[in-house]
Amino acid sequence: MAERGAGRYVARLVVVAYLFFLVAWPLFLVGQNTFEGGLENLRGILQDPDVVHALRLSLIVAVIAVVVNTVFGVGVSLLLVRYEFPGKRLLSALLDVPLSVSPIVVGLSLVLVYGGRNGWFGPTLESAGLQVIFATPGIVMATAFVALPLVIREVVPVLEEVGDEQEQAARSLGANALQTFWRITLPAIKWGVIYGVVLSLARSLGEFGAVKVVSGNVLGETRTTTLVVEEKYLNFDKGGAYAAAFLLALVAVAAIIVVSLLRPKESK
Amino acid sequence: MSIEISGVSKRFGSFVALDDVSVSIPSGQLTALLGPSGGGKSTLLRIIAGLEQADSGSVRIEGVDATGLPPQKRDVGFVFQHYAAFKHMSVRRNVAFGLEIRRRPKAEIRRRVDELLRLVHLEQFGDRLPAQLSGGQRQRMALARALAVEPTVLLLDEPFGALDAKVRKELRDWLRRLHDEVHVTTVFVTHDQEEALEVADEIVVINDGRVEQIGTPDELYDAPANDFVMRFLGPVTQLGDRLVRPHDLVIHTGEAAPGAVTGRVTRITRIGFEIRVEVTAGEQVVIVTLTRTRFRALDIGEGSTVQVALAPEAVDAPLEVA
Amino acid sequence: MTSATLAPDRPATRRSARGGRRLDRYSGLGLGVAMLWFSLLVLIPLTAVVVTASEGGWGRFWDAVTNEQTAAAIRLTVGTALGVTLVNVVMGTLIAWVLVRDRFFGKRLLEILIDIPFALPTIVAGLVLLSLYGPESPLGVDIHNTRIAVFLAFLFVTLPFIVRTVQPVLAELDKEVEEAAASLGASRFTTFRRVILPSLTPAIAAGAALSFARGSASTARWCSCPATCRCVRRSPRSASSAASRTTTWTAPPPSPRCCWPSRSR
Repeated sequence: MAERGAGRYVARLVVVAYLFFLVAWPLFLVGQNTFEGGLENLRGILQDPDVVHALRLSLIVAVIAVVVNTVFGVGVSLLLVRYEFPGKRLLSALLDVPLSVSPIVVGLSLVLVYGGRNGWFGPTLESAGLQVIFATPGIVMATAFVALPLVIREVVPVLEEVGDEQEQAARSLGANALQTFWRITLPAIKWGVIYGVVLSLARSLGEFGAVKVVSGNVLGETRTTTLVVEEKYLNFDKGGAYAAAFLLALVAVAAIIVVSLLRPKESK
Repeated sequence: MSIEISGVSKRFGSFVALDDVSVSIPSGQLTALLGPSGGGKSTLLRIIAGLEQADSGSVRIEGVDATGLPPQKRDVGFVFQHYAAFKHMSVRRNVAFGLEIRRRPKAEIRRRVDELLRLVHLEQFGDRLPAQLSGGQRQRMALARALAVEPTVLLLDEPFGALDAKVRKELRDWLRRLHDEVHVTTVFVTHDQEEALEVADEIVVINDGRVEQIGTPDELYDAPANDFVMRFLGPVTQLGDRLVRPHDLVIHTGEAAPGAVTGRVTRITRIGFEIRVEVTAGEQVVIVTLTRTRFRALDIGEGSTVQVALAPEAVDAPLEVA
Repeated sequence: MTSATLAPDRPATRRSARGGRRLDRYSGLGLGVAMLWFSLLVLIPLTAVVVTASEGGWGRFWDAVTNEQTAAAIRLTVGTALGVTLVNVVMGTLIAWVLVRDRFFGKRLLEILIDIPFALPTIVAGLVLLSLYGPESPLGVDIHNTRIAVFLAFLFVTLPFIVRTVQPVLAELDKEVEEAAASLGASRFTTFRRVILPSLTPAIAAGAALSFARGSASTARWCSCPATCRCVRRSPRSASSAASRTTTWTAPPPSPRCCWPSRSR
């Protein structure tokens, strides 16, 4: 049945206006602010060694967190979908917890356990020479924490959709578990994994609250790009703040566009 | 006439679904729209229901011009192939839906729903959800739901298409008997010629967006208007330049009779109670079906030379050059 | 994104019908390693928060919660999160509807816009909103020290939740069911209210829960980002919120160098 009447146009207009004022226009203004004085702002931050260090740190942390989350996510998804074990439902529910925990609490919780002075495990680890909090491992953990469920959320439905008939067929043809995974399962869930990775990457690069708590925000050491944005803004370096924000937004938007291009067109 | 369709055309992009179709559907009868998939029969049904708008032409239901009316105002009952059950409502609530929309008194609704559930043999299932019913039961519920509002016409779109063969046959008989009881003008779409021949009072054959023939099952079977109708209603084979039914051919082993074709038996297949004999005559392979008794009496095997001729009361059609 | 949690009847029946395999040695080992990592990363730290919070006994916890200022902050957070969720329920459903049912030029762009708040760094999101609704607003509306700013920020962050949970369910809805309702005489509004909405309710509820959880949780993020931290500092009465308060009674910020902008400067 064809959608008729003015209602359709009103709905369309309301939606477009809402998204325009809430997302599109503000986003555009960030770009505009960045390029207000030509390329000056961008060049400014890219020539600042501290900022470059922050960018590099952000990237390294994000890559490690994404790799860890991908391996963990694919493994847990397989376990959840293909195996039966006690506590499966509980685990499945717990895995979504990081999405609804405030990042500040995430950072705080890590400090409580791994903090060098008073943490549960922190002093022991530190006497063994491993500093977690106020160092890169802590930042990686905070980032991995907040982005934890993303790969699982993308992979589980795909695994369920694919079913296990192909895997059983491969096993009946003599493939062992590892061969079955590499040659049958992984190719089948490839796109799910890729969406998960892209979303995790965007989320990891952008994490702020949790990282802020665990990083110590040491200039040129543990300061990530998101922290640079804040620092620049608080110091009234509006151009620099917008330029750094622009770089991060660029990555986020690019990631979303990649995902939306990869996603097969449904319901057509 | 209950439904009067005149000059209806419908396109989807460049695809012509219906091309200037005119059909009159008589009151109180069970009419089948029969044709191959993609031939336009479902589109015609949906245009009658108002679920689709015709590009041109008009639809009158019981004398009222319904061309521009939305589905809500047409007073038709529609049954979908995949049941379209309201999943969150019990069977009773599903059946009562149309009556509740019409704000009938509660007592009346209860009485009417009970009556309908009895009619479709779902009395004990009133409080179940559609998910707890079998396919056949769901379709009967959908039928009760459509009948509840006492529509002027009942439209069914491949109603048994999603069911397995056995349930399909049962529901087909049941629909026929239900119609004899209720007598509402009913139009159903099917691509199964057996279903149409068995159930319908009248059949409209639709192909490529056009009406090929309208008539009773006997008329269609005995006097197909053309090649297509003949092929669609049952198995056919070719004898010379005539299109015939394989069971309308007879085999002789004696001398060549006038009008008979001489050939050699190349293959014999037994399918249940009938025997299929392939006779190669020159370039042509003629298929003849015989009863087992007749086949035994003939005493032929692969390689035998036989005469094939048309039985006296046979139906045939000249072959149209495509 | 969240389709995993939805459509409860479909995957559930499929999974139980097939029945998972029992763990063998390798998958058992895998589960062990995964659980160890999950515990170290998430479970133990979160337990630490709960333990530390209740260390002074639940009495202290209760005092902290019932403390006038804290109570006000919690009221603000919950109230704001509720309001935001309410707006999201209406707008999210409407957006999902338009994306699924309508076709027009630029729809693809809208799809992208919806996901952006999810991937955008929070701090950048703050700057983004500030650019239009802050002191230099081209619209001439400066709301950046007010509750509206917090509200708007939540709206921004939680935008994708309901849209993305409702969208797949709406797309899966059987069009024939609506046609059946129409042929039975139901108006478009009645069809929506009695047939479509009940089918969407579980998805809307799931999205609303996510939105509410995120809304109340992200207060802390917003108070620690420049867009709103100033309002915390300048008008603690109006905009300080439960989450930031929560952290102050849970434990003091671990290092003078990190955390609250209000203290670090």
